[in-house]
Amino acid sequence: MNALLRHPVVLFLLRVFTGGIFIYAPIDKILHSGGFADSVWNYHMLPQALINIWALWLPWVEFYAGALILLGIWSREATVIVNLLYVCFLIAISQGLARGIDFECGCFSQGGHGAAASWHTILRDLWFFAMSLWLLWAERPIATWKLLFLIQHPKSLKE
Amino acid sequence: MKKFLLHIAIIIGGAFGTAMAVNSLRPDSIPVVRPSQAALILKEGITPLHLDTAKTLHQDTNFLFVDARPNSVFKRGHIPRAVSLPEEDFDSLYAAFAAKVPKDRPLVVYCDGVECRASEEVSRRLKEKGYRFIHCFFGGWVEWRDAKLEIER
Repeated sequence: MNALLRHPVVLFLLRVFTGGIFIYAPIDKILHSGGFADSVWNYHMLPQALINIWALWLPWVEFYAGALILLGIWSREATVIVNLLYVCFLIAISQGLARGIDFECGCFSQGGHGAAASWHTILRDLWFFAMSLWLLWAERPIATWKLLFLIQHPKSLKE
Repeated sequence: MKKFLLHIAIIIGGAFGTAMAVNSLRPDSIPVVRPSQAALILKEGITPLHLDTAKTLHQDTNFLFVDARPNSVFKRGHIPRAVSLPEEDFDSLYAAFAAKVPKDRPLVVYCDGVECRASEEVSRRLKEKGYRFIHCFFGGWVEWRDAKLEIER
């Protein structure tokens, strides 16, 4: 069972899923950093002085982590970062909902045009988090192009 | 393990460097340190107010207090003599508001408190409509009520 859950095809799909999300999610945040800074402000979690730095920096961390996961380079390190980010996101959204703040998730969209955060957002992020935890467990130090080679030449698989 | 942590530091540091470089090069860059909400709103020609000033201005009946919270909340209690202009109903209620309130009347807009943005939004929209003297009371209803000032239901 373990071998099946860590099969190269599964690992490839998990990398595409999590890497894809983390490449797509920050694009709008990078293009509209002012709007995203407003979304961060709406969470009422960070001190004023850190809001813009966080809004500028976070999308690039997401982007680099997503790209490295997709390429299979330093993918274990990138997956650790992604998992830590999911923990941050879940805490931030939960505290906002628990305090009854009307705020945008800012997960994929810039401020002013994104969907309002809700318990559905939490469920979605929990699902994504579960997938990235699975990826962390299944991850191995092998570049994605080598992984694709292994998938195309199953005889070379030693497992 | 050391190598592992070094790689994480490189990813995080690289992202920070890229973020700062991209932000400094783009024409619509944002300040690295966000100005306070009060400073942001002041830049748009809207004057931020604290409780003490709001209390003083309230004694002058020339100042009209505008409640930007939903009307159902307004009915449960509001600052005396305030009028209701909820953010979500702004478009439908603005004409009636404009018919009664001249553009040169000084306004003090408020909502629940520092955690709501309706007062800022309504302030901005009134400014766009041509109102000239707009003040935004950030502390809003919560600060007013907690200070045990007079309220109206």
